[in-house]
Amino acid sequence: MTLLALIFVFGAWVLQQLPILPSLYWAFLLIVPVILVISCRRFSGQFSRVCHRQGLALAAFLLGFFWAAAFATHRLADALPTEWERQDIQIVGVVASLPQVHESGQRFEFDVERVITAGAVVPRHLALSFYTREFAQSPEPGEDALPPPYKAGQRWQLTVRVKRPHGIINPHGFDFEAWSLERNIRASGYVKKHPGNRLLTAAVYRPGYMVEMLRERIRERMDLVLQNKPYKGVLQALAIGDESGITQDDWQTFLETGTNHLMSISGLHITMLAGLGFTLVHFMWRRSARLTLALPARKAAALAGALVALAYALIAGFSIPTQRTLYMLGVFAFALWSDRQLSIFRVLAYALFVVVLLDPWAVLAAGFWLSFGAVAVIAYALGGRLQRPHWFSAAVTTQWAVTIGLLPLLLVMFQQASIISPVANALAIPLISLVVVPLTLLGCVVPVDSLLVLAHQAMNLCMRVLTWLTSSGLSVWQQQAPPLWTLPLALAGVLWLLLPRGFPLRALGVVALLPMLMPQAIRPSPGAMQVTVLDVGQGLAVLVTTETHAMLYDSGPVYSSSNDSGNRIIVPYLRAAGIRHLDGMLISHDDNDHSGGAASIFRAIPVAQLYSSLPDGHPLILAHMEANTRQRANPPVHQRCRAGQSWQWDEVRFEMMHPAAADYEMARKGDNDRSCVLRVTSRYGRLLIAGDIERDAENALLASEYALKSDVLIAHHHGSKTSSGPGFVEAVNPAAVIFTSGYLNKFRHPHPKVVERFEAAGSRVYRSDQHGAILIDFGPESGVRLTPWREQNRRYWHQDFRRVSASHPVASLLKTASHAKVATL
Amino acid sequence: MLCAAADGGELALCTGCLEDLPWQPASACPQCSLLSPFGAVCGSCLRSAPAFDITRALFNYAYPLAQLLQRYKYQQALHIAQTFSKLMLQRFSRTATFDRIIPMPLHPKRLAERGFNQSLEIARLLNRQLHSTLDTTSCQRIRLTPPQASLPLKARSRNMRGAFRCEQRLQCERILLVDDVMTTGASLHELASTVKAAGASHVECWVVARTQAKG
Repeated sequence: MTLLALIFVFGAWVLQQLPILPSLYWAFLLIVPVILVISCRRFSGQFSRVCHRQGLALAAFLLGFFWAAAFATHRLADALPTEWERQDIQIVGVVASLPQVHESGQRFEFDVERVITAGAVVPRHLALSFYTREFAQSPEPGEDALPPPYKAGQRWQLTVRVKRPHGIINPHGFDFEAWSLERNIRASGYVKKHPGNRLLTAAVYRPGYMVEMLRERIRERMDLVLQNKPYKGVLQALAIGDESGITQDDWQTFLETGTNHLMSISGLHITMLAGLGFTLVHFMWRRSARLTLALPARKAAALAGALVALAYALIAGFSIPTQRTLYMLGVFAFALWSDRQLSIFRVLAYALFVVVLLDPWAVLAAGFWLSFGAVAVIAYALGGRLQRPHWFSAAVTTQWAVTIGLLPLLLVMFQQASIISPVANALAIPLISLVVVPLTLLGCVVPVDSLLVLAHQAMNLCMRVLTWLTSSGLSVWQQQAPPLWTLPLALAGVLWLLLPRGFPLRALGVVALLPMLMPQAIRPSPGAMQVTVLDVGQGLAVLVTTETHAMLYDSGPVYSSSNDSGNRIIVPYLRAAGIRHLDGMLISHDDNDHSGGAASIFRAIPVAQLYSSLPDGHPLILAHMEANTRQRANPPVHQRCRAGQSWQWDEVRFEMMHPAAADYEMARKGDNDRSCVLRVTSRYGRLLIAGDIERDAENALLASEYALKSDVLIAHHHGSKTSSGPGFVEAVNPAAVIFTSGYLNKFRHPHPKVVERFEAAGSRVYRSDQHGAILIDFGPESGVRLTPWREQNRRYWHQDFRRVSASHPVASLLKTASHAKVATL
Repeated sequence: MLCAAADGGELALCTGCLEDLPWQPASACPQCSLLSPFGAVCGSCLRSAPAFDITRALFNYAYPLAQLLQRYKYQQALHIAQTFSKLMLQRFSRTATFDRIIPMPLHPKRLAERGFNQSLEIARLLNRQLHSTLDTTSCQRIRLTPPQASLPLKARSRNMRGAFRCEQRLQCERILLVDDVMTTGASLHELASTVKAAGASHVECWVVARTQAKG
């Protein structure tokens, strides 16, 4: 049974790796194992027993596979038609989640009950944002007086603009589209200011909404009691699972100490609290002879533990990780309740099965593997021993087992692991799980303010210790993404390392871990280069690597005050690619979508030489200088881009073609036209990156002595119609052109005329909103080869965004038939 | 799961393990379940008959039963009750009729200490098959006696004297007493006499394990 449960999970996992969803008619294949099993049951003998077992295994696999397929088919059917993307739609529905407050408004999930706009089709469940002020605008004094309007459980009539979930897709990056699918968010958008927007019902009393209202009540109470205390956000995360109040700095501390799992309500807290409930009821129940005779104390306690877990999971927003733990504890409680003694591994297998049965997408989440992995590793390291170890040595073994046991998974999924995490966790787990969480929750239920204040003080103490630990220097192990073949080897090594004492040569298990810890980066040969055009949405970031050097052109946009493409996309990508420092970086000009991530990059990794069109006193230049002083790098650190600059790395030539020195003197020249233009010539092909230049600079380049002809062009200014004039396109005449534009961006980049112009010139067109990141190899085997990551890594939930163009007003979509050519590339 | 090999199953034990257990031999005294040639009533029962009429035991109280019962009682491994009750029904009778099933009562203090009554949990499961009346209220333990195990054999019967009280009229009833271990039989004897004094006509004892006199 255990094995069959695991095979079912495997079946569901396989489905989630598919690029297209198979038709459910294939489920008739299930007949094969069914016939096999039934016919084998008739006969006895070795052969038919084997057949019987194989038949069952096959049935379990197919069941898992088609179970997941049925879920996916059903959910994908509830979609937003493309013609209703970015259209005003009036709907009536209920605020279905506790609204998260962020710097410029609110964000919440919304259950659509009725669509008012005639003919409009909207998925049943949306994610909506409400902006109180424009993006990136700082609050004006007195403006915050208006309380955020939306509360959980309210029924509203709203005018919204939504689009299908579209995420930026990069190697080693986060898949927003998968995340949305699992959470049943089939469209997201914002509430449009409209006179028809009005509150219809103050509170819709349905169980799900009532839980959300209760969570909101708790949040309000905590806001009131804790006012402006620094770790209010942390306590709110612990009580109601609302992590939006945790500051970026605190997150960084948690990440570096490997304690970030403590901040999200996941396995640990629920288990601990359920354990507290168990212990308490176990103690109290026995005081009454009548109760004990009616029901053994242990069973009553198991029931109480399960109920406590359920209650906490609900208050915590019933997020997917909490559900996971709940089902696991449920299997435990059920076993106890029904007088079955199950081994821990069997409980794990059944819990895995239950989780995947209810949410087949769970197998995609890192947390899924980490939480089940943690329990399995602890059970493996502590279980099956002849004697119960002393509690202290059990605790030490647990920390050691979790740290070493989860290392392979962490490295494959995040390319980093905290070195001080065992120490930090050993201190933080008891403090947070047994003091902070119970106090906070008690403080939420009982109207005694001092409980919350006390909890905050305990949290304060915990933070002080953690901050001290991070200040001790090297705390995080980071490395490039290990190849997948090292994973089974590393897991075997871990199992060997964690064998019971007495096994000879346990330490040798480390050897099996080495290939994973020391992966060899595959770098281009001399004269060759690899180029990665990262998908940063509307913006630009291009990484060029040669045999021993790496250079970044532009750093993408800022998304919010704490998120930019630097810390979200570029730094993680560089780490995964094994690039520990940048030999050069170029900031083409001072637009948010090109320079937004730079500061985060300077903070995270050393950047030797900086080129930019920015003046010397610019904050980014200062930030770079400061970072270099800290890292004790050698000056000179910054040079202004000037036509004629050039250098050669590993037989690859880098040449600055624009702007001319004189361009800096001309005040009327726009920032865009002063973008640095870089030509990179490898032995196997040439790349041209031209920032955001417009016609003036194009003409200047055409007039210059440089040959513009290139194999690959990163289209300047995202394909705006103010750039890429016919003469320039003809002169460059690229084999492939790449537009880095955001999905349905408000500038409607790239312009169809520009796209057409390149197509007419015979260029293959790639777009980051349709192809994701684009990897380009200039190498001896391949010549110039482009790999669009979205196609390389396609999953069935990735919609084919090639059919609809960001640049087209929806109405004119059908007229531009030429666009279909792009799709067939 | 009592043995590692068994994949659940009715008894949570594989056949091999089941055969290796120290089963109570067939030739035992029907009244007190001590070894006796040809299954005849033994000498001590003939000399001074105990208050109960019949005793059925599953096992000798020997390895690994002693350890198993310890785990059951002190670590609340409740699932073991399933195995014991199923084996009792299998070996003793599925159809026996009793007017009342009385598990060996625990003193309230002992009950609070342990969190459950080990005999009750077995009796509860037996009753599901036997469809009798499970009675936990009419017989009470009124004296907190030191655990029998802590006393020398001779002191045990004195220790038990007057330990129980029965508040229910049990006119002419057939009673089944359930206990985990029977060592000297003093507690069961005392309970049986209390029950008989209340009017019961026939008293049968079902126990998991019976200590056989050494020698």
